[in-house]
Amino acid sequence: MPNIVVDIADMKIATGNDNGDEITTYALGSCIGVAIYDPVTRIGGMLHYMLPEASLNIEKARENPYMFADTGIPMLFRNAYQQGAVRSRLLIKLAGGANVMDSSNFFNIGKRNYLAARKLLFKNNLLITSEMVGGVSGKTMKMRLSDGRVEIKLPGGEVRYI
Amino acid sequence: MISIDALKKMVQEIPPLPDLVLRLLAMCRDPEIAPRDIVEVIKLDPAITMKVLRLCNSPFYGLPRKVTSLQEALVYLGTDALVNFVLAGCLSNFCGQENKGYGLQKGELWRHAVGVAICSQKVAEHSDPRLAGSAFTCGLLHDIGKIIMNSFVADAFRKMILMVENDGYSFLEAEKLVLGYTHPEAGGDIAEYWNLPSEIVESIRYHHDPMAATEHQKLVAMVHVGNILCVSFGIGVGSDGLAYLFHPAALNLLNISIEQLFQLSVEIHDRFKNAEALLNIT
Repeated sequence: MPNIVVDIADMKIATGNDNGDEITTYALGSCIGVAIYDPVTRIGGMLHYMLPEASLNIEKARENPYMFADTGIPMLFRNAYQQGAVRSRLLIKLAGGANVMDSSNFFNIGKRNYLAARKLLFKNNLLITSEMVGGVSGKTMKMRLSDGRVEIKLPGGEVRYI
Repeated sequence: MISIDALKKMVQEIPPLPDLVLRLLAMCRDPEIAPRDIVEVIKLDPAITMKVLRLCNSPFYGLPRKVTSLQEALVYLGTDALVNFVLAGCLSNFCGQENKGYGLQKGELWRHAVGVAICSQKVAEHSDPRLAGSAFTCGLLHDIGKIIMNSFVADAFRKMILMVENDGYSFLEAEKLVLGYTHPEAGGDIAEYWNLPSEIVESIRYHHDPMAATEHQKLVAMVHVGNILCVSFGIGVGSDGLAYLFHPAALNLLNISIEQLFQLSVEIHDRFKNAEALLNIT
């Protein structure tokens, strides 16, 4: 049962089968995990980005587009399409975007990361299927490649499905 | 509630830091001490010398050529980095074990220590480079209190996480209310018990409340911001997650804007990716 791991500022695409293969990204804090899945071709992809905009460091965005929402998300979709995923069938699931406690809302990187994804998906007429975003907990996101089910593991071992 | 006396007693059961580390930390703060004297002290411990040379030759510093002696390492890295490598070599044993209370698997507390050391150093390089070496040292040590709080947090975890999720308390407040003692307090007491310099004691004790520091507020603010960055990017983040207060006053003190902090995060990611040798130092 291979488990494909997506690191921080990383993206992976794979085709599902009935062997229980999974794509996982660990320790989503303020970062966002975007999982997409085409249930017909069983092509799934996952992105783990750190920051909202590539304008923070254009050179780095060229070197590693997966670090930023506005360069990583288009690359995720483009790669999935190239593998045969069809846009109209895609399930799109989001997790992460937690924030530290800050009453001044100054250090709101999780919120900004989430809004960057929403804005980009909305602009491209793509609907989010489900999400588990925000709060103060770190999350692990795991997608089953046979059917696109996404499991979110929370502190203390609690598991939810989105 | 477990008595604070019992918890404080545990501080004194922590194994001491090796004399070598204490001597070096004192020496590198003494302007009368020549760098070569520091090399002479490290050389007395062949195992540590080997570890330090291995770290020097790892991609973390990206040195142009292979370093084969401590003298050479000193030339390339300077005293602070050399002493920090020795500290890392000794400290990784303390932090390497599984820490169930905070939901950290084997190696994760050490990963977090290295992550905060790197983040705090990067913040210092931007704000006040003279403090970069000390920021790394304090980052490595900041969560040492979790070692003794571990089993008590494990027993009370359910209650504490409910206070965080349902009542909006920070994890630190939950520690105080449920256990009567917090991991920064425990860490500060350990650092005092180890006779560490006051800047380290303050950085540990106030890393979640930097403006309460009295003598070394700037350094403490660096560790505070470094820690917030590290948990935000999920480096060695446990079940306490991001449930800690951020103090914007720390950024004002360091004269760093939020956008600059995001830009620093990009460089931190690169530096952490090269920190494999530090993470596997045991």
